[in-house]
Amino acid sequence: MAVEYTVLDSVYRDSVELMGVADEIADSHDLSDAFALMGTEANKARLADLTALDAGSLSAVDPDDLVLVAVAPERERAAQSLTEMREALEGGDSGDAGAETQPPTSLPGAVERADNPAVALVSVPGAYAVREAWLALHAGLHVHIFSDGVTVEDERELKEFGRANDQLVMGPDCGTALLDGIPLGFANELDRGSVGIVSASGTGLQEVATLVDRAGAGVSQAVGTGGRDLQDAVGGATTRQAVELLDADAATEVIVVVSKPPEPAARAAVFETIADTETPVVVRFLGTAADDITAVGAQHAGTLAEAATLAVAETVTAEPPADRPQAEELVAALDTRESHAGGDLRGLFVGGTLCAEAALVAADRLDVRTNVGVGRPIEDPPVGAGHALVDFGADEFTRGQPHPMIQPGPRDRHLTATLADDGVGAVVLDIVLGRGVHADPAAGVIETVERADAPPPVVASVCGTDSDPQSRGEQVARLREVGVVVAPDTATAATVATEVVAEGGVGR
Amino acid sequence: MTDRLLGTEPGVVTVGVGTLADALEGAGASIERVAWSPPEADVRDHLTALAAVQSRVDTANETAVERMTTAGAVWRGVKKAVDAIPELGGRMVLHAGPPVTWAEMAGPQQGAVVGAVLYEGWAETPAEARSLTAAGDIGLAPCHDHGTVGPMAGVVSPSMPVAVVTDPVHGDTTAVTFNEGLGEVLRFGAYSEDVIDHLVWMEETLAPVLGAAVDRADGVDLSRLSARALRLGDEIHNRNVAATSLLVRELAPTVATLDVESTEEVLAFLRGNDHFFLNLSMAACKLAADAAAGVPWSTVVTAMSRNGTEFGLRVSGLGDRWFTTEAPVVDGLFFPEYDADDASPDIGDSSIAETTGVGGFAMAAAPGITQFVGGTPAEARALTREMYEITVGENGSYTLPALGFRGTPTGIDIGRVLATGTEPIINTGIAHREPGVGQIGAGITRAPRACFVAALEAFYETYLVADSPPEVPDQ
Repeated sequence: MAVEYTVLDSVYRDSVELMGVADEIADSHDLSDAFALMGTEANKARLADLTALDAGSLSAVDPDDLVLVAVAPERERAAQSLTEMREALEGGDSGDAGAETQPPTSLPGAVERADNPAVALVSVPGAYAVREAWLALHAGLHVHIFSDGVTVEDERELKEFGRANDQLVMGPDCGTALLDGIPLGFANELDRGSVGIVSASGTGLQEVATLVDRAGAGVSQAVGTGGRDLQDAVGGATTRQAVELLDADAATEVIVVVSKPPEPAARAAVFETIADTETPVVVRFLGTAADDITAVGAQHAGTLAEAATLAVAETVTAEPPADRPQAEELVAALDTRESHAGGDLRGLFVGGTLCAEAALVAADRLDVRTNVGVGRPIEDPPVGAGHALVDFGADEFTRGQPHPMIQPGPRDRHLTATLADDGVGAVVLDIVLGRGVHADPAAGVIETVERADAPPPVVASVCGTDSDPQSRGEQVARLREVGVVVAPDTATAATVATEVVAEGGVGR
Repeated sequence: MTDRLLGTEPGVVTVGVGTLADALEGAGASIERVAWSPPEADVRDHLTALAAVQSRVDTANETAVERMTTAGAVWRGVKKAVDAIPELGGRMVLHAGPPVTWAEMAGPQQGAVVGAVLYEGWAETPAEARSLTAAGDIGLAPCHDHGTVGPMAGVVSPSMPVAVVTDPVHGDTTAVTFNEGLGEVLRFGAYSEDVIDHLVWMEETLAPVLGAAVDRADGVDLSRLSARALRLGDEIHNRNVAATSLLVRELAPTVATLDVESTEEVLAFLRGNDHFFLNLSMAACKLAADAAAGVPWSTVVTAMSRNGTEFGLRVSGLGDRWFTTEAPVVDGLFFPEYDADDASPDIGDSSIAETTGVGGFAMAAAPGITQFVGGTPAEARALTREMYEITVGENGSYTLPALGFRGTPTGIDIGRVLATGTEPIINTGIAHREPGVGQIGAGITRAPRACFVAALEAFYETYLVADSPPEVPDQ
């Protein structure tokens, strides 16, 4: 066993540092032992004890000298270790210059660090989202809960607190909102303007907002409320609060209120608020009769597209709407070499409200099945049979999966099978653009249609604007290139597709 | 009337899906992202219930931390322990950590109790001391329950001299023993004749000199010394050399005026003991922690303590209850010839330092001992920054030059600990598991999660589902 040592005259290092260096060298060189000690009498005695080092050889060492000792089977290894130990102790740069940051690990921590924190966007899994929402509310922030999987009891409690403290609780399951031009969740690039939107439906909000934008008007604020806001258990809490807020907002000249089919007590409560609103209100409640809406002084819209048109008409700044192709024109332009009358209508949607909107249109003429509460339920989703319209963003498809707006793969794969099905006479689908969604959402549809052998007509609506990262104009052009019929809005798309398969439909 | 819902240049806090935060950022919004990780399933629902009343808890916690950070500590004098801690009358010994029986007691703590019994003259031999204690003839109780704290074994017996330290802001008093120095000492469980002789020397020689000096100096402001020491490279738990030096400088002029022969001996002892200030630092921390105790609805930790067998935790809103679990083993650096197998599990009341925001929480102040945390000052600063994530406030009196003079992270919130999965760091010495061997290393450990889980459960029962939970007191 070789014992090598060296003495550094008048070099002081903290014993803690010395222990660390000695341990590291002993480990990395597999030494029998390594010591780095100040030359006190006690340490010298200890070294003599433990290393067979001759005590006499250290007699000239003072307490302010540093002694390095390496014990190894071979002399060479011991000597090499000593050199490295010395270098480690002499190297002064710890390499930690410059700014250091550590991200906050909790919502209150982030609130402390944020500049003018005003709103929190919560998208953690539902089981954890309630806690984050509470923390945001108690920190005085509005909260946008993108997450689903929150119980209705929790939703009600959060919204009661929010209402009592003038804080908006948008969600849970709120896909989008636009506050002061800040896009939360999936959000389209929109011009600022005077149309305010309050929507219990994410894609419903996007459809109205993008149509308003494309009509040359703009959006003041768009408040998503979460899909269950107009269930009786929640009572329209956020919808009412948001309508009041927009009524008081000088920049808002007209308010559009959108919901999937509301429950009666919640609808009554919202109507009460609307009746007290001074700003003109346009209502698109799926499945609510026009008379009920006009009775509270609001305008009834039969489709999302109509809601946008009515709202634009109320604004003083809007230019006349650009010409949009009507359903009749689109039908007239279809390839009529083969008739698809009597075939099945299939709807493949990523937006739940867009699916419901299309289904309501089709239901006027067809016996439809859906998984969004319109018509009869689909027995075996997503396959379906007969006239079936499927929302691929429904809970049963998104558990543990990204929403199809982010990852449209499952919908696109199902399109392949649908186009190969001889019984299918027409397909209607949606493409939703905006920040936060897939970078090229039409790509999968385009590829599938291109590959299909003599597919039935495919009618699409593309929800977005030309300013969106994916550019609506570009998406539409590419879809048309492969023969997809692009309608200006979802209701029109559904009208066209229904016409194709209906009795006495298109073609010979 | 306004066209803004959110005010001027609003910021958005995001927690969850990264692409949504990216989208916001891409749109030019000012955002702050939470580096979120899910809380463990066993605490998830309780944490949600806690968050639902967060404003109320925040108010209580701010009160607790305000008390903690404004507490003062002035060393007023020296007394016999029994005169400062009346409950010590009779045959009674105090110890570090939560309550523990003789049978369950760790080796070093048993050794220290034996030493105290010999020192008090209640037994002639170690064997006799052991059987007396085992028979229940010697009372055992935690220091924390009797207004004191002690490092390592933390043993206090009636005849020991103690420093009496008061908090002039809140009116509390604590009394702590003096640090014996390194080597073979009682607090590591040694009880040889030399150890007992040294205790007697402290009682007969050290204490009178210190007592007279403090009297003449009209008290010594320990908080001020601690604050200065943090600027001089101490974290006042594992490194006390600056604080001890400052204290000696403070006392030396008055010591020099004393008409006794032993002054030179006393000053030489102080010079040779870098850790002399530790016990006094702990006294200041104990006063701060006690000031913060007993605030209804507060989730702030008011004691973390170990006895070599169990680790114990107390929470402001839950009073004197201990929440305990097995004491962890310390990840440390060992003196030559020792390793982790020789180590006693974590022991001592000295984690009162971290409880009040110094020690490991002030690691950024002490680059000299950064080897404990991996080697670089940057890693030390990172550890302190990490502790801001689990604390309620900052101590404006204890500032950290390395972090731009930010106050030390103070007031551990059990909710934040469990939500972030970040357990408090504790700097500590490591005792040999056999009594009497002494210190064999030093290092860092983390307060064990299980105590925090138990405390949250109790908080839930006491406040969140109780029919009539305690009220928050008026500010």
